[in-house]
Amino acid sequence: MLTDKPTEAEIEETIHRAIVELLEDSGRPAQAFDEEDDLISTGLTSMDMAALVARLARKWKIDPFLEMKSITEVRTVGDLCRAYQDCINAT
Amino acid sequence: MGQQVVLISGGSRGLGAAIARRCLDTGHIVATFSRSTSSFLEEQRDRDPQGDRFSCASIDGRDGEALRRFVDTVADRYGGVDVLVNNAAVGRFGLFPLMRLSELDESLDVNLRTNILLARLCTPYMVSRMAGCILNISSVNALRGNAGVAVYSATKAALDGLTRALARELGPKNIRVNSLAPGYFDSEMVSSLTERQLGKLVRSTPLRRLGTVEEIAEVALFLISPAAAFITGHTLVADGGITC
Repeated sequence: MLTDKPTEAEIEETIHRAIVELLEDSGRPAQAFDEEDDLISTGLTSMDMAALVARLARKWKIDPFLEMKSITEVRTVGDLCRAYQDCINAT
Repeated sequence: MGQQVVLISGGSRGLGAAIARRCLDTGHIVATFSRSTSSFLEEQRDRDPQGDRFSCASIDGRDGEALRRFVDTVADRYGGVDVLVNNAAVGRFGLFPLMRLSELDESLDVNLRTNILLARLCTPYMVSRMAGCILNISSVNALRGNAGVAVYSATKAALDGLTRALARELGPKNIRVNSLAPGYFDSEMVSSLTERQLGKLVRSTPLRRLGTVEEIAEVALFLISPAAAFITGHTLVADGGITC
C-alpha cells in the first residue's frame, strides 16, 4: 500500500524512466517520446507492457490493470500516466 | 539449480505437501497456503520459525483479496516469485445430474479460478525477471472421460488449456508453463474409493498398482527444474500407464 503518494510529475518521470530502462535493458535504443506518443511507437511490445506494469507494481504496489482499467484503454504514454494517477488517487 | 522461490497452493497435505517437502530438500524457498493447518505445516514452522525458507498462511483460495495480499507478501519477503505450483483442488464427485450447485461452484472456484488468479498475480514478477515457471496440477481425468467426475474433469482440462495458452504467451519471456496429470495415487481423493473401485483401477493400470505421492512429487520437481528447461506447454502424464 502506498504511504507517500507521488505527484503527477513524479509519476510521469518514473514511467518515462521505466520505459527507457526497459528498452535499454533489452538492447533497444530509446527514442525520444512525449505524452502524446503511442506506447507502441516508443518501441514497447505488448509483453514489454506487462514487464513495465510489473516494474511499476514493484515500485508503487499497485496495478491499475488488475481491476480498475483495461489495458486496451491505454494507447499513449499520457494514457498510461493517467491510469496510474487515477489508481494512486483511488488508494 | 539455484535457490528458487516456490509458491504452492494447497501445500498443507497430500501432493502439495510432498512437492513442498521436495522443494525444501532441494534448497528452495517455499511459500504455501491452505484453508486448514496440518502436521506437515506445523513441522515446517517448528523447523523454521523465522520463515527464512518456509512460510504458510491460512487462506481460503476463494478469497481473491487474501490471495493478492499473500502473493505480495511472499514477493516482498523473498524478492519475487520464481515458480508457481497450482495444486489447490477439491474433488466433488458424484452423478452430475444430482450435483449440488454449491459443489459445482466450489469446484470451479477452487480448482479453476483460484489457480488462474494465482497465475495472474505471480506472472508479473516472473515477467519482470524474464524467468519463471508455472506448474498446473491436472489429472488423467482431464484426458479421459470417467463417470462421476464431470466437473472435476472440466476444471482440470481447463487448466491444461491455460497451460498451453500461457506457454505460448509467456515463452518469449523465458517463462515455462506445464501441466502434470497424475493418475491414481495414494491420496485423500483415492482413499474415498471402495475396495472394488480401487481394484478395478489397479487392474486397469499396466504397472498394476497405485502411484505414491512421492513419485508424483518427483515428476513435479523435474518439471520445475532446469532438467526440463526445454519443456513448455506440455501435459506430462504420470499414471502408471492407465491412459495409454
